[in-house]
Amino acid sequence: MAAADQTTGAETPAGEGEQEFTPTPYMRHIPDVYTDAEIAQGASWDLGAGHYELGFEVNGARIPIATVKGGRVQKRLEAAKQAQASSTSAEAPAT
Amino acid sequence: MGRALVLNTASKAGTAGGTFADTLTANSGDSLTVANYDAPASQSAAKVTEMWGIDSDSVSEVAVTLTRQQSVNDQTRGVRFNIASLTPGGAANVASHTFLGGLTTIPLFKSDVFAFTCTSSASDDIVVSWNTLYDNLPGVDSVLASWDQVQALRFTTLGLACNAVASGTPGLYGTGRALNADESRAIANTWYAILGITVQTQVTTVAFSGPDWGGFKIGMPAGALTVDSTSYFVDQSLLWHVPLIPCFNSNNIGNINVFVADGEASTSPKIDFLMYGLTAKPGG
Repeated sequence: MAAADQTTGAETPAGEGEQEFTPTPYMRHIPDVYTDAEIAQGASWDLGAGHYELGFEVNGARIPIATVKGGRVQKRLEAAKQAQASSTSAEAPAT
Repeated sequence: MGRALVLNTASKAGTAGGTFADTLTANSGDSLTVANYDAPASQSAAKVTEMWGIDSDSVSEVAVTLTRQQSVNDQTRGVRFNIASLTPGGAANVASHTFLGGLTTIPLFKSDVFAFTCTSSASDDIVVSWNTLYDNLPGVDSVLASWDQVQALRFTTLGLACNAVASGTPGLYGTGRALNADESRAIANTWYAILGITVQTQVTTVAFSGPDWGGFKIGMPAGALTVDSTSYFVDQSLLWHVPLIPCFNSNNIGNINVFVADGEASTSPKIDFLMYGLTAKPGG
């Protein structure tokens, strides 16, 4: 899209005066880990499921918009796998 | 007098879904039965002071019933509580909503039994916790202090970390973690008052049990709406006008276990307990 030059009023073609950004959605797991200080103090507790971070990545910069508990994502993934497995077995031809 | 503050939790992972189609069961070590307090059976000498819970997946409703009409109106639906599970923050991020807040109570009678029936969507996880205040529970003489007592005896302030984690099954308690497992900075043979907690990740319930409270659990919510609760037990004590700040002697700290229950599996809240160190046992 052309943009108007505020000083001269002339239009400049897209890409010359501005940079196009294409946000890409991402999801990454942030594991529950011991910090170095905790390890130094002999950390020994059970680690949790951590979190999943969801957001957009623009030119390498991550813009997180939400975090979800790891337990919830794992539960939903497991349910999806089971649904897929039962669906596949139901569609499988009789032998 | 054996005053006792007792936390119980009931839950169900993977509900069938439907209108009041699921029933919660008591978590390990907890009970749906009102204990046999020391008072005539016709006298309500116990009450639910706080109740909270969550369906970690969908909006839902919980019906609490007991058998006595002096407790709840009927045994069909009793007291119904809606859970706005998606507000604020969406599924899994709320962790708890308050059912009974402020000065509202449910009076209890000895040996009565709670029933929690739930309306939910299929495959939801539901967990409900409640605090019961007993005026006189034989066998228990919990060290519970008033705010005035704690202020008068205070000589230091302590924030102690304990990294208990929720169970791999949603709703259940995770493995109990000793209060001194992650930090052992408590001064030996010293009384401490637990005022409240802070957490990094919201969870439905944080509980702890130990010899100074008759082995029963005491607990509090730590959901999105109750997550900043460093004065929870101070507020409870002031609200109910009875000593409700749990105190313990540090010689017992290795036998104080911290438990976490959450609507999601394996949540790790990272708990910091805010405590006052006391110069003596409150009331002692």
